[in-house]
Amino acid sequence: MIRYLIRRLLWAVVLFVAITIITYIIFFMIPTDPARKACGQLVTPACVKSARHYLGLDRPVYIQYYKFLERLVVHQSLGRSFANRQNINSIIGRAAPITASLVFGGAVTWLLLAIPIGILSALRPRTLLDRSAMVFVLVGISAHPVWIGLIFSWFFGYKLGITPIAGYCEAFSPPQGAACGGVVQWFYHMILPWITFAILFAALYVRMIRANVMETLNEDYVRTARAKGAPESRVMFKHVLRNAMLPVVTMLGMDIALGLGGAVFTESVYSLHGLGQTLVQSLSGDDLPTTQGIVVFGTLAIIVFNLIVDLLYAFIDPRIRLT
Amino acid sequence: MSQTETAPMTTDGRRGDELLVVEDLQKHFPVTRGVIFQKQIAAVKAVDGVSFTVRQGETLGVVGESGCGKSTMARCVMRLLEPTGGRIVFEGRDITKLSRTDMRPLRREMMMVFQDPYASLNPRKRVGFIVAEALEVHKLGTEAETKRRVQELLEVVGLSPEHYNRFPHEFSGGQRQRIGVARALAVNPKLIVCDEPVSALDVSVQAQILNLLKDLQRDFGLTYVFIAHDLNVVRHISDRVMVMYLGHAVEIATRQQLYSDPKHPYTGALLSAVPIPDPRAGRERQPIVLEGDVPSPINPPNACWFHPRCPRFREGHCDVETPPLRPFGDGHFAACHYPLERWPMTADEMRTVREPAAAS
Repeated sequence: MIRYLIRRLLWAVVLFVAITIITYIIFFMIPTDPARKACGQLVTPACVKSARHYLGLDRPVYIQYYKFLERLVVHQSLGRSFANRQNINSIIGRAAPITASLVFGGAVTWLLLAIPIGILSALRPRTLLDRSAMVFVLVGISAHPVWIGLIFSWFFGYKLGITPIAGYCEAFSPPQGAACGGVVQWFYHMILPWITFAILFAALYVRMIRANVMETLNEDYVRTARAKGAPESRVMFKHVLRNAMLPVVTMLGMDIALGLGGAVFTESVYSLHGLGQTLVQSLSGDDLPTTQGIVVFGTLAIIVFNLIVDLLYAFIDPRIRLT
Repeated sequence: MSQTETAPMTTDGRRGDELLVVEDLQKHFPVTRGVIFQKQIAAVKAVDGVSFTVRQGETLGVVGESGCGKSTMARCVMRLLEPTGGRIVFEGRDITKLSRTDMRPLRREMMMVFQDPYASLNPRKRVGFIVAEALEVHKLGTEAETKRRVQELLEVVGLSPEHYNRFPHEFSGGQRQRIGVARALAVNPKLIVCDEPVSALDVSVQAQILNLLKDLQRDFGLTYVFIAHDLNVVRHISDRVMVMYLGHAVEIATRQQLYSDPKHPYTGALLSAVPIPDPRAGRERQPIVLEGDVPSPINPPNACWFHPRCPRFREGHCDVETPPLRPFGDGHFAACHYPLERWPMTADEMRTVREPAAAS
């Protein structure tokens, strides 16, 4: 177990270095000059020169990369934004909870939708219920989250007025002068984003869960359990679900990580200033430190999730030994 | 001793110690076609009118080639499949139409050992759980009692009680089948239906499992329905044997009768194909080779189901009139118009048929 963890962590370091190097290299391939932007309207050679020196852009790429690593490891700091000199740690500190609310709440929502629908579809294949679920799946996969988000926001927020149209509320310690705050308001503001975000994944998961459950139902050991006289609910929970959910857990870890990036569409529709929106802004502003900071944060999140999933895997499937 | 007591077609005049009576059991699987609206265009007649009785404490062997409906028959008897027609009477109680809920208490009286010892054990559960589950489901005993019972059972089937916390994949095929047997024994059932319990195992392990089953029968007074396609295995374990062909029972007899004096040409062909563990005798023997394949159970032949492959086929009789199961004395029944006069027989002898002695 300990050896396994150490090996995993070493791999994580390799992955981390590879990803950050790639981000750096790509950034320096892009033919723009952040120093020019920093000078804004007053682009004079002197300003650009001093800005370049100030931002550290006058040194070779590998020195910059080394400085970045040193800052990160020694000071646990991601540096300051090129655009507005804000501390990137605090930019991410503000944006991450919003994205995390969206992604985790969304994951709970899509599981709540997909597990019952998937199981019922598998138990009653080719019935009206199964076919309706199929239609939901098709719509969910085809409809873009931006479109779904706008429709929801217009219908539930504007027409019916039962939800906010957009915006975010801090659940804990809302900033001074914020329009709203508190857990209830947070939940209320997140309902539409969660559903919007969850629909695509819910659709994919319905199909996956349906297929897995149907396959497991045909296993011989399920027949064995029935022959023992186990009631159908027991057969389902003790024998079918544990086996059918294994691939779902694997996918869940990957999809939550994926969702951190995919959240940008939902974030933009509901004007949630999460990581996705911040990343898009920093990219268009040639703000390397912010981009890099978000990439680093995302990479860490993905590494941590995959580790959690692997540990969960061993818990669900006793045949897997962590060595 | 009368003719009717084991007559498969009658329900009256039983000896009274029948544990299981199956009458005219049918299982048809629909074949459907259609894009949106499915309509049934045919039926696979997997089991089509099988009748037999199993007495308390005996072993009924069931043989036949693959696809002849043996397993389907077993699953219908266990009510793991819904029979299309017929009656299943267990301990004098008609269980054919019982609902799932009503069936549940009866499941502790009849257990099944499955063919595939790999797939039939849940890979994510410990052996202790697998064996104990039936006890738990039927609420027999406290947790500590259950555990003690399971460890006892593991010893009975020749495993060690320390195997309690292992997972199925840590065992060999033979050990897994022992787990399957322990599982079936857990609730002290009266009837155990063994669906090819040894066909997935190699020969040395087969013998161990067969002897285990025999010992358990002696010690616990079990009744078996034992399905196999290996005639030697069936001969070893059975008191009576039923031969199935294409969803029908074609011959039922005691072990001695069936192996020394078969009546149905299909049984004869099966017996002549049994390997003899003596190369010289094996080379001299002429097996009776059946021509063609087993016909499709979707569209079975008219009248006698065996007539397209039968060496004793007589046109105008076998393909016109369905042979009933006729008694040959001492509970021996066979469904043939031209039963074998003696045994053993060569292929040529089999082809020459005497005129039926005053047939119906």
